[in-house]
Amino acid sequence: MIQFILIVNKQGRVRIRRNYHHVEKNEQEQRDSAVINKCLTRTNKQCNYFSHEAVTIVYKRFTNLCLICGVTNENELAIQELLNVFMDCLGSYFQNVSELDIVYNMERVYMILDEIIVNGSIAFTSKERALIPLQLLDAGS
Amino acid sequence: MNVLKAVSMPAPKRLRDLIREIRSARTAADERAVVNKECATIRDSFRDQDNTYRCRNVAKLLYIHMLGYPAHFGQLECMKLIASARFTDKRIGYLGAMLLLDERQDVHLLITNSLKNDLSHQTQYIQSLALCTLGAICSVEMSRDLAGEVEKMIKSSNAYIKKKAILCAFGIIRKVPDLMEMFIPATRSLLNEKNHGVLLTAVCLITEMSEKSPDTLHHFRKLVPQLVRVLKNLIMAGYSPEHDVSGVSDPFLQVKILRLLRILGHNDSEASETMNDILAQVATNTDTSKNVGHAILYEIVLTIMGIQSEAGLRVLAVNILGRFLLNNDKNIRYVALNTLLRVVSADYNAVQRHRTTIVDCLKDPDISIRRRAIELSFALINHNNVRGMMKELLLFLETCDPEFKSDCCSNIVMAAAKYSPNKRWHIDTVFKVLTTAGNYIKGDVVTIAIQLVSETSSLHAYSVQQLFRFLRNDYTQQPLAQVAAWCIGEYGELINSVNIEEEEPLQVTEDEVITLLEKVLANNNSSVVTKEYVITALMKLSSRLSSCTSRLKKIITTYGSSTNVELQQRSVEYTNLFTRYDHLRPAVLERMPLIQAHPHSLEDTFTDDNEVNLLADSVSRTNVHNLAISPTQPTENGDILDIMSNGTPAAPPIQSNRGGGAIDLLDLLGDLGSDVPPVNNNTVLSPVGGNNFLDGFIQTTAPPNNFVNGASSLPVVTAFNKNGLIVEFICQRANNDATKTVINMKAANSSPFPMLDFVFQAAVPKSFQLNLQSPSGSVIPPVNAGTVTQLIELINPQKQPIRMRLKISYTQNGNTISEMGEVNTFPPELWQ
Repeated sequence: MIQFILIVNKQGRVRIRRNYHHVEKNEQEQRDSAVINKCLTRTNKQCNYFSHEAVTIVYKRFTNLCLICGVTNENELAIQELLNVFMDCLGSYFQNVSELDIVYNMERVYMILDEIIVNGSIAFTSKERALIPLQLLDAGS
Repeated sequence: MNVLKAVSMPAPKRLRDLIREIRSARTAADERAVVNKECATIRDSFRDQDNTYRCRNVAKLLYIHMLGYPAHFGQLECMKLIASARFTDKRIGYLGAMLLLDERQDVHLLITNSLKNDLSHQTQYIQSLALCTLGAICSVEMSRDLAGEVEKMIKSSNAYIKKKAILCAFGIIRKVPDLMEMFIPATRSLLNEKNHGVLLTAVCLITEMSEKSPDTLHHFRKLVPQLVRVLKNLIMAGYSPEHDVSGVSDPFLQVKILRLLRILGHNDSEASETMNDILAQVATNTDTSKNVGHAILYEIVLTIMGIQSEAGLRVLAVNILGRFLLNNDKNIRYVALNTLLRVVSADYNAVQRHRTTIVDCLKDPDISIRRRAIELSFALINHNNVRGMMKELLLFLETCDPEFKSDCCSNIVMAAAKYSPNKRWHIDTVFKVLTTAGNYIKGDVVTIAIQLVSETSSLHAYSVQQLFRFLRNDYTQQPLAQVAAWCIGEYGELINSVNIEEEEPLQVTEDEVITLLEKVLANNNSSVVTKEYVITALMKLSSRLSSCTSRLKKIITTYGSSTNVELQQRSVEYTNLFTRYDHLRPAVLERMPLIQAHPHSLEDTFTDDNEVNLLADSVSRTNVHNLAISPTQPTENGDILDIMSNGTPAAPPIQSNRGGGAIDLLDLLGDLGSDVPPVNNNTVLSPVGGNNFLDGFIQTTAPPNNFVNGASSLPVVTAFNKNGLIVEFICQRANNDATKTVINMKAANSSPFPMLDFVFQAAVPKSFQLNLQSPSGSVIPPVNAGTVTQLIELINPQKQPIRMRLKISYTQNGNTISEMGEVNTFPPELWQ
């Protein structure tokens, strides 16, 4: 089950955070800073998963963003693919997504995320289907 | 009025302007100022109940929340947004609800009504919003209320809604497992769907239900053929652009189905059989050029290992893992090592084939890969490959990180003990560990090393020479110094012997040996424990090496004024041995007897119950030192004391070493069973009093006294009385420990014949702990001319009535007599 998803930038500032499992505020802060620290200090040679307090962390680095996902009991390679799919979705909606796009369009990113992952499980991974509600929203407003 | 109001207050900032402002803040204080100002504005605006911009304000609030600032005042506003009719409002409202609320807040109950309405809304997107939120933040009551609605929606025809409803049900079931029955009938038909999204979510739901309850698991086993069919269609179907990820059609669905198959087939041979074919097919058909293919293969391997598959399939799985190991991508190697670790106990032989690759992974730059590789390597050692593996492991030990080192050492030593081909190799390996790992070794490795050396009498000379060489090179590593000091002390005379196979004999003078030990002693880096070893070693050398007694005496005497009490005590006592009791010295310093092997345990279990303050005791207390021994083990301790009691009085009293983990230094005489529970403490003397004590000893003809603090204050219990043998217990509760009772056993012989080889053993119920100290002797002279006494310590943590069973054996008139008895008549004051 997916416990949480974070999108952070290179300096470690959180851009998108989604918890699928309730944690107290200060616990969450501690966990976030520890995990982000570890992810950002890892080199290219090290593998993309590690474990942190009984949760396996899978992360994926893009140019100036880092997608971090904490899972328990899941196939790590599949989660990596999931992160890829998510990034692809964002890419096709925003046309060459950058960090600022995510910052200024926070609620849309959340909507896309909610189409793909629901409640900690992978719901649907088709790019086109995930973007339909957003297109409706844009058409309406 | 309203018009005025609208004019007077400007429209609140847009979200992006706020973001821009926050980003342009230079320092954290600036940012906080901006945020606080904005929060105040938002709060004002909420108070004014402004509908138009509420959505914008809440969006800003969510951003602020994500940055980490408190945002709870927005919760009620989210509620209002959800109740509004516009889609954008609702959207932001639900998002806010998911981010800000959880079941611990009271506000969320208020959403229930809105949720209910929205669940039956016409627009599917609004329904989906509601479902999403419900699944995320439902509480027990909410779930019960709305579960019926959700179930209806699962049966709806709209695939989009179905998907979301299923996942909502997933969330509900997690919260309230009882509601599972409600959803079971709906799920059965779901597998016939064509829509991948629905299939994926349905599989997810079924997985969760099966994991949660074994009954449902049983129920869903019937679905296995259907699942297999779906999987087959998935692979056979051609290219489908919608679900394609890098050339593989819907890998996520494949993975999910494989996992469900694993759960259903676990421990069930019938289901497993149906799966065998499809597993093999998928395994061979998957394209492994991309990561996606690897993901599927990984899931297949896990499934094969999880069900009762046939042997060929298992071999296939291990081979796949082997291929993973050779892959360049470190992620895949990590995953492979992880899985192999789980599999190695089941399929040992198959994993052995990949041993060389695993050993190569020890050199990987990534630490988590190295960690797993080392664990696997330890699991794979056996008699055939132990030499090669050890070489690699020792190489690894040299370069590995400190956090591994101590575990690695312990494991290497244990493996060496189990699989070593011959003694010489074993000793070499242990020495190598000592020299390589420096100060990271745990205490028990030192014990094991010493025990090993003392067992292999044929290699004593070799060991001592090697250790001398090592110590000469480097005497700063504490465990090495300790072992080396002990060996040199014990076998010092062999240091120049010539008949070592394959090695050149060491030519050192005795002076060199002593100089080296002196250097270790004087070194500031040596720990106190090491120095204790060295002092004792020097002492032993005084009887082994003939020429340097005066020099040794001088060294030892210098430490008589050391500030450390342990060193001072040893030094003074040994000096005494030199000066006043020189005739005893050879006997005292004889070779140690063979140490008893005991199971390796890594904790030390010294109890400090009887720890007596060194300097503050009266001379009249004369407890002879001992190690605690369990009643059933024969002890060398006892034997040696017997030798002693016939001629010479007891050796100088010895301190037990409390420096956790290291060997008990008592052992001029005895048993190195340092892991055996409670070491009992001993004497007592201040240096001045020592002389008197020893004097007292020599003058008495009776064997050393074993008596307890002061006079006994409780009646004597007659434990045994038969055939002239009377055994009496004088009991007393220990002063400083309410759970401990000290019993002085006195055995007297009223028959006309002496009793020889008298052995007294006792057993107590499980909740007690018993310590029998060495008896004063084994001969009871006839006609009550003398007694044999023995001190018994009983620890009674649960304050139960004391019961004891006795077993006594002795030889009288050439007949061996063995008696058993039971004692229940202990006075109740002892345990209440």
